[in-house]
Amino acid sequence: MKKEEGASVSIWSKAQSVRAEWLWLVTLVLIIVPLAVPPHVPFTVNQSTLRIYEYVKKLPDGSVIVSGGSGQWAFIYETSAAFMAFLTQIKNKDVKLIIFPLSTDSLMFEPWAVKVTGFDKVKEYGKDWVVLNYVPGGADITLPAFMTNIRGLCRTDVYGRPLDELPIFKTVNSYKDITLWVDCGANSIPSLARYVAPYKVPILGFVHSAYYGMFQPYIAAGQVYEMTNGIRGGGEYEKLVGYTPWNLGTVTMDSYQLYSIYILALVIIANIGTQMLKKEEKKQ
Amino acid sequence: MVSKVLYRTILPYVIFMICFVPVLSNYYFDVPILRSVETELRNWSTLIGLTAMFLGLANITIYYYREIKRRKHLEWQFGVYSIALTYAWIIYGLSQGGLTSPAYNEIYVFVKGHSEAAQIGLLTFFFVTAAFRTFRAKNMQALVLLIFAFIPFIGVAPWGEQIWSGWPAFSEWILGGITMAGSRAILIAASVGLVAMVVRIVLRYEKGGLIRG
Amino acid sequence: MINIWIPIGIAIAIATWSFLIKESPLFRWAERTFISAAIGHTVVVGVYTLRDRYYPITVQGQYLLLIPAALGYLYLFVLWRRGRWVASYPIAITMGVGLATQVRGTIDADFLGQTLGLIREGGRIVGSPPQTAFTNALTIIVTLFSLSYFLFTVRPKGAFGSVYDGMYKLGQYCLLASLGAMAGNYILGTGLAVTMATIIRIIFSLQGYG
Repeated sequence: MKKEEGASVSIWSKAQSVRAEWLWLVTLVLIIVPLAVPPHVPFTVNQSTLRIYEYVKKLPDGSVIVSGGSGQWAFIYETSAAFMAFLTQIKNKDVKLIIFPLSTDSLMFEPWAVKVTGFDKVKEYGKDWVVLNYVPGGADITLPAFMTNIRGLCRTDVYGRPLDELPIFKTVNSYKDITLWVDCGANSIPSLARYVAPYKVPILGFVHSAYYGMFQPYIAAGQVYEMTNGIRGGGEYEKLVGYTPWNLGTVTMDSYQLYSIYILALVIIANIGTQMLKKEEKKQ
Repeated sequence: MVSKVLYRTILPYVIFMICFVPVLSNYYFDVPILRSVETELRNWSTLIGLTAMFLGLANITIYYYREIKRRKHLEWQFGVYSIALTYAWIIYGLSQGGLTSPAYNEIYVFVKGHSEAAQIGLLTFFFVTAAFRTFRAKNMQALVLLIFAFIPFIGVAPWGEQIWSGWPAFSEWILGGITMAGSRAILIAASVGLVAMVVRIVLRYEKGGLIRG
Repeated sequence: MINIWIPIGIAIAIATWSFLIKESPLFRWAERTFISAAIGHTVVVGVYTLRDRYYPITVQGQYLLLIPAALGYLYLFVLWRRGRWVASYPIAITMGVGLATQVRGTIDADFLGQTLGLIREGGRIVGSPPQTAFTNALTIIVTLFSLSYFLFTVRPKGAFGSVYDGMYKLGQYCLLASLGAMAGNYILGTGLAVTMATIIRIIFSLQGYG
């Protein structure tokens, strides 16, 4: 009896002190296996993603969409799935897209996303879409100026062409001409709620899962129309629009299937182990 | 001594107030001159902020130079590599036609993009260790935290809805209800805190970013 | 012709992940590459932004803007300990404009907007379907309890004091629930998505898609 008890204690205590490298190796296997053998796990589409899809579907012809967000390249990967699905959805609609990057990485990311989805192949640059230059100073300084006078803030596009020479800006100069604002930068929602929402411009956010809960008050207060929930939202949006060349959301959901079970199992083992070790210490 | 206080402390504060008051007032009072002053000040701020983009380069050059000077094994070699790569990147970027050129886009995506993504991707593995070592319900607070952590965690997982089809909707309800309410309280409290901080800066209880001489 | 940046990118990613085995010169090489690339990119963007920002001066003849252009260079004095006070001037301008904008935006969107949202939810308790009414009532209670946790000034005494103490304790749990849910939602998030993106990009690159 004592030997068995001793053996069970050592199992729990051994489990608590397993080396991190083994945990990481199992993690690597669990996320790579679904890439090699995709299980195509089914998942339902959330109401929030559906609302975004329906809203974009109903955009009238000639709508002007501003894509403005800040973020770092790596972090934007999480929201890239939803953003690329959005670009795929509007690709064949009669809409205009103005990319107004709020960070140096967004300046590279959003045009890259446009190329990956083939948006630039069906739309004419300067007439249907444009990439503005990055304006330093932060969202607090640039956004209020952008909303009231775009040509007053931005003088040239990213190619150095004056905005007056671009056909798209013949009819667009302020918040009155903007139909929709899309944030693909993952965490610019507070700035947009402060400086874009007061002008009654609807805002759609493709946000990090970390910020999805944190930014819910802006939806409840009516300042933001809706947001997608990180990579899961991206996967749902991809499902709604069909295949996108990126398909990161769908692929990640396959890997998350095993990864999440693994994490849950580890937490359960850790907690049971803690309680068992506590009991043994009390007995001793 | 008096003149030192004047140009190192008082004058920057006066400039701060000259910029602060019109921009704040323009929001609440419809006066045309305030509007044009605000527009001009914003243009000034963007021009000033432009130089901050080069500050990082100056800072890092000084840092790496000191590292090379210290001659510590392996560190000085990395210092040389870092400085050389930084300046080579700038020269390459400017000579290849800049941000829109395919050559620069390639190096950006494959070098900067991959290195940054790989760094952040390490989180995937660290989460696993964190989950195992720290997600323990040692008291009531930790238990509440864990329970509410695992509701959306399971809700987002595809297998969550296989167990119970209502789980994603329940998780959305938690995020849109309780999480929203807590975030709202944090937002309101933070906004009051920001206003209090600005009042302290205006009344000179805090120097804020204004550097003392 | 082989694109040389593809194998370099793959090597950087693998060198970064070698940190999981051991912190080594390989990881430090990848780390330094990232830092240098990030700073180099900021400077490249800065040079092209210069062209855009100096456009009113060079093309439109707005020479008054030469003043902030010159003031901006005073920022560099931050690096010199004895001359650091010189940087106060450009900082004062950007701080003045930035703080004023932030204050007005925060009061409007965060304070007033959220308070009005809370009041509107209260108005929607009566006459709404039971689930909506329950959700709205719950969010109001959770918000008020959580707010009581942030009262750092005068602590109520007497009868209301004990009510407040109860609200404070419950507010603690409400905030823990809220933060816990945010954390739980995050676990899927950035880490795994970015890892998958990196792996997919490596596979795409090896397949020649770039």
